[in-house]
Amino acid sequence: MSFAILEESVFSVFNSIPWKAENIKTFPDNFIELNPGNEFIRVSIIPSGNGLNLKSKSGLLLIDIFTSAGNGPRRSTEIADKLDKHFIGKNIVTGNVSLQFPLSSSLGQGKQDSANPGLYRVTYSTTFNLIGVT
Amino acid sequence: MFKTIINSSLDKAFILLKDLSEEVILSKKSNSSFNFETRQTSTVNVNFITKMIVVKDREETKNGVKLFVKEILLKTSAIENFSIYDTLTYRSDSWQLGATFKHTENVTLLEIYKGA
Repeated sequence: MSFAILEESVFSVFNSIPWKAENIKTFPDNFIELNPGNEFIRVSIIPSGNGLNLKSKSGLLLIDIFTSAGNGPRRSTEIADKLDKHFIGKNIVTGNVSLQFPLSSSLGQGKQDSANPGLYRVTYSTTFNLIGVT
Repeated sequence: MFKTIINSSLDKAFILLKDLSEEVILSKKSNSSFNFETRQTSTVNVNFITKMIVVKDREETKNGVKLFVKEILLKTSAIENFSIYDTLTYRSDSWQLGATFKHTENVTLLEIYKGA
């Protein structure tokens, strides 16, 4: 169940009014959007083991940021800053569990998307700890 | 003008093949969305009925998973704008569209597959 709880906690951010107000198309991994356009993000959650104590899980939040190719990195970094605003240093409480994000994140090297060369893709990542689950 | 003639001739050919050509339903995703609250996807499918011919039929096992695979021939106009995420219903079973082997203006030969 902890994987589903983790997913619910992360997705609650993308379901929030402040995130929706950012007006950035957001899709989860393994979802096929028929008309994604030239700017969207794709969210992957990767739980990767024990957390800070016995009742916790740690992992990585990977978010692929897609923007128009050929327009430089500016828009990607703006979106990454928006993601920071919603995740970095946050403690998201869902029921009895709390999802904690550290005070740092990183942005990988960008490249043209292999599936659609009209898009530039860069991966935003941050770690997390889900406290209150086994 | 020739396009219309070829198209109607193809329709006739599929009819003349009688049992060898079978009616199938192609389901194309026309819209989809993901709800982050319910974590559910909602998809709207548009269905088209067409005829196809099964050219080859085989079973294979990949990574311990058994698959039924068919090579089918159908009119290109019926399959236009379809992708690997769309499905085909054949004899009440849902099949995924796979690789395209031959794609001409008039006919398309492609693979469909489903798990055992």
